[in-house]
Amino acid sequence: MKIFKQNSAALKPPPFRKLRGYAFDPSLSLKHDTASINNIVYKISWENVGIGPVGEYLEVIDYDPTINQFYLPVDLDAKYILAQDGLDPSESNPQFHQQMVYAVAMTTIKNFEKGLGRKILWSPRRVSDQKIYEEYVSQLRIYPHALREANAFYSPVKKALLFGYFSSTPADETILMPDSLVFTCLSHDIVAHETTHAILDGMHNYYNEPTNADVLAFHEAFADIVALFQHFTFPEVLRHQIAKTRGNLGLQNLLGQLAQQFGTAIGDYGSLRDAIGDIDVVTKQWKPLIPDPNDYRTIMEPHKRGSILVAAVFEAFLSIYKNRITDLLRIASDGTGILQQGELHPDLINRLASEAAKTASHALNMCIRALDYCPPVDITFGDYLRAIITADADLVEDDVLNYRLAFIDAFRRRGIYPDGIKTLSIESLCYPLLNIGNATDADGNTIELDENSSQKLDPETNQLMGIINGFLREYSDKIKYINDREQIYTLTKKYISGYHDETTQILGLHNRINVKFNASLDFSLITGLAFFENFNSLGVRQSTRYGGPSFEIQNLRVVSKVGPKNTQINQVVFSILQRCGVTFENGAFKEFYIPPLSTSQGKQESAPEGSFEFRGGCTLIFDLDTLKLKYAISKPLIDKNSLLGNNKNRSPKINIKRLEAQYKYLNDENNFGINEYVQYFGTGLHSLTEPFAFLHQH
Amino acid sequence: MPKSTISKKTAQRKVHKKIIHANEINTASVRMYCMGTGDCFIVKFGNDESDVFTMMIDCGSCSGGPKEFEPYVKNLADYVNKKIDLLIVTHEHNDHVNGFAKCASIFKQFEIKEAWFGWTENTEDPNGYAQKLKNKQGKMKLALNNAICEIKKRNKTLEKSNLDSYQKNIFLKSSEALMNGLDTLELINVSDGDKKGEELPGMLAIKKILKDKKVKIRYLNPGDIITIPGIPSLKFYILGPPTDRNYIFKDGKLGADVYKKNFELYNSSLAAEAFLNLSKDSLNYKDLPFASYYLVEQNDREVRSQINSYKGPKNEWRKIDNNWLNNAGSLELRINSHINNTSLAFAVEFDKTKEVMLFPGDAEYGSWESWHNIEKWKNKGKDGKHLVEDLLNRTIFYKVGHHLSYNGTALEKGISMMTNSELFSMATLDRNRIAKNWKSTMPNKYLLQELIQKCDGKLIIMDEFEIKNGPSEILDPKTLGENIYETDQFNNGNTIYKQYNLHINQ
Repeated sequence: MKIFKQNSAALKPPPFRKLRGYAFDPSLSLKHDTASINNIVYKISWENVGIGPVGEYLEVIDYDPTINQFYLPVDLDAKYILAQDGLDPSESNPQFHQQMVYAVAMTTIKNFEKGLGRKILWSPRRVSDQKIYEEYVSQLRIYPHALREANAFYSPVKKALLFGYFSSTPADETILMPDSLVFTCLSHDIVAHETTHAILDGMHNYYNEPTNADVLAFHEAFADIVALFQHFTFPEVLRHQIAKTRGNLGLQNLLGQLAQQFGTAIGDYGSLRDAIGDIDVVTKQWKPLIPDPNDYRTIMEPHKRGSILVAAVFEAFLSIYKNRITDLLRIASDGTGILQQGELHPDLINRLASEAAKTASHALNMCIRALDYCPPVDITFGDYLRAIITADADLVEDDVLNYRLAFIDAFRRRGIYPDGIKTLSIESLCYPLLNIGNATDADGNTIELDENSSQKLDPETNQLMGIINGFLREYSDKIKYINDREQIYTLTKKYISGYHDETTQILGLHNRINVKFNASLDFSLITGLAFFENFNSLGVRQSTRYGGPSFEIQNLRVVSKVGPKNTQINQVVFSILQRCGVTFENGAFKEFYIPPLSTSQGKQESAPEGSFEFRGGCTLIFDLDTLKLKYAISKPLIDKNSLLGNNKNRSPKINIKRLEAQYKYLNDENNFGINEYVQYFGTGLHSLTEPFAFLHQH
Repeated sequence: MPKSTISKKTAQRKVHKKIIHANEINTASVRMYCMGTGDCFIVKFGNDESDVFTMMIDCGSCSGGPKEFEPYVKNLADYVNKKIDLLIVTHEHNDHVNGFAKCASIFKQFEIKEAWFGWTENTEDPNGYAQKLKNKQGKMKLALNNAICEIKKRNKTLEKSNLDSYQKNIFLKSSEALMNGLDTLELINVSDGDKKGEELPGMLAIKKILKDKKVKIRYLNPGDIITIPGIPSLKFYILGPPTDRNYIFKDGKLGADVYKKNFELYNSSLAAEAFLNLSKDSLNYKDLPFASYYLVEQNDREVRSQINSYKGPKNEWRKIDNNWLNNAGSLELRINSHINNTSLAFAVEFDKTKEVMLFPGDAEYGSWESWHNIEKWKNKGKDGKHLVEDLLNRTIFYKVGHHLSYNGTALEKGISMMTNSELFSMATLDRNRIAKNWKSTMPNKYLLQELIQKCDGKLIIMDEFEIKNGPSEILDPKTLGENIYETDQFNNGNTIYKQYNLHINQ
């Protein structure tokens, strides 16, 4: 022991902690042809974990409220457990369940951080004290056995994942023993899906609010996309399935399916969701999915609607993959491109698998990167397509393999068109480049005056934008060297809300925007939000702190990435959100009211009958290299047409088109009826308290 | 007191001077009593000379006590002269049976010739199927009640807790919504007081009255075809409740997505078990998902940190003690749908014209679907169709299922097949008097519009209060003439009944 201690300073911790687990879920371990690939070893970045496991990101607590008991928590550092890559996969050992949720959730988190190029933060906890406003949440809680039902969900209020278990009623009794217990926490797909909900909530807090039919569907779809593409990171599984489908991943295969056991257990034949096909109700045979553009117009239930987006992304992936392997297939078939009968050569399988893995990782990264280019509220699938295309065009100038076309085509085939663009081309899908900024450096010196700016703004706004930009560069310089997530959170909060002590003084971003833009019609035009004097008349609250219009700054972050040809982007991104109170009577807009403080959520008394809060938001992307505002991706609260022109007396109006669409959506009983459970036990669509718990009820 | 209602028929009968056989049937008057959302029908079959046969279907409403029921039931008693040829009790939900208990003393005076129930009520069946089902329902109802009590208890604790008000408000709001929903369905499904697991008082009351009076009771199965002795011109086709367990438990809005609800009562069994254990003091070791050595002992030092982390006051807001209780909602929905699917659903055919009246009770999709699979009716309809499809094609009167909710009328296997241009419908919905959370589902506006279109506006709703684009905007039923549509009011202006007089084409 002594010798070990002396050397310990020189000893590096291992890069990985290896933990065994299911690649899919326990049901596949019982099928002869999949048993061999279902047990895999997850390689998790090494970190110190306490019993639970409890690590930097996660806190697994195995309390079962249905019997009011704790199950013994696993100690992943225990000698024997370390020596054999974690506990044996087992349905009957709750400690393995804890290990499984930890392994899958950590894998998902790390995949995200790879795609985003930064550390992920959980969404902070809101508190009633207006001064504190929100608190840092270091760890997501995971409760592996929290419910007795066929359900698992992410709770945004508790910052926790709750997994259920239930007794099965299978349609096919040969796969699953009837009445056997099914644990949702043992399904890779379900754990990855729920973890993604939590990560997405940390980035886009308002995507929990269903303001149009796509919002909750997007949450579901995105979570499924992540779970699906994660299948491609398991090499054994990938090779096995490539061999089985002879390289054609458009055929039925495990990689494109989600939650096998769950699907079978609740009494259906196939998996819970399948991106490329489904089981025919009549013939019980799998058949490939043919995209139907009507679906996007008619299907409103969030999971089904989400499936449209998942299928679109998966199709884009498949066409890129097919494109990438045509040469391999020609090489392997003497130039004909048609493979011979029989099994594939193992070398070919390896090469195909490597192409598939690469393509999947590219496609997933495109999907994840796009999140930084999304509006902060009210997202639609069309917005997401534009975000994917813009983000990719920003990073990858030369799209030789036509990735972007593959995405556009797949979306088009499903009738998903973004609002307000005239043609479906890469150019028109990309958000317009703004290049606004009479840029100044960190010391406040003017660098240049851009004559080619796409928007003609008054010089004052231009200059102010430059100052903001300089401030953001300062933030980026500071945050670059910080690795600790709590410090990232704290410093970012200081830069947003301002901070001062003996040595430092930071005038916060919130305050700066308020001071500089509180009466700027041009800034209103850029953001689509109310930054003018009579904001009160449009139902926008006055800020208790700064006196100007009240708004919220979210998600200030530095985005720096390196593209395939060493293109580098250095950006600072943040979102501004604003809300106003609106009242409807007999289906028509009636008047505005000033909504109560956001921290008093849940109290009903102050909101008038028939009213709801209407939210607008804008994601601003600043380029640090040119010190310009590059993109403003907006869901306008204000009708931008009422802000056009140079007249100082422009009279801003509410964005009635969006407002009415939202009202219609919130009050359509078919949408309200996401399921019967919501109708009976929900709190109304515009204030769902546990949106994800409700979604999965059946 | 009701205004005197002189039968308009009397006047009209004198016009026809045809010789009519005593038991011939060419009229049917369907009277819907309007005592609030819930079913109570009198159907008098007859001819231009006299009434031949009186049928009563259900007696219940979502709201009101004996006092509110009494005037309606008295009117009913007068109307039928306290004589019922056939009483049909469709299913055990309060909005279909509670009138029998609330006005038991009136019904005791009735002379009832025969009564019909679905096979699911036949607790004396030697096979024990119905009894088994009843036991299961009873157990589920008990579990449900346990859960509801616990939810209410914990809600009180929550109110007093010193949780940050931001989270607390959210939790309170959702628990309030949950309780509202639970109360709504409990009102329909569960008995009051300490009899939670037992049959509903209305069902018990009418069964007792029938037993005391030694009334002949028939328990019916799908596929039965019945004619009443002496009245050969009416044929009763029994459609549901389904005998195949796959259907009786099945809900379903069609679709391949498995998120469609699965209404097998058993699916909630694991939660139900835990609900039942709530009333016990000690841990039920039979109910553990894992071997008991995985449980943390009280004195386990090593795991103290975890327990403290969970129970510490700082982390109060992250506790999950109550989330699982929300499953009571799913359980309740299952019980509710399941009992709807035990509805005695039937069709009455007029032998002469082959026209059909359809009374599905509150049957939901699973039951509707099963009708089309009744084995012995395969190819027995016109042009080799299944008889049920044929019956639906010939339907000229439809008692709308489940108060115009989406669940109560199948689309492709129901309304789409009702193609007869004579179709007339009645729906027992009154948004003045309705279980609170039913308001969000009734009427389903798409179904409503579909029905209005199918019937050319000939859809009578108990009360169109709060209903937008109701059928009366298309067609005011009063314009149909008094020999087709009748209604009457109490002195206080409340509608007593709405009545449709059907004349069979000859």
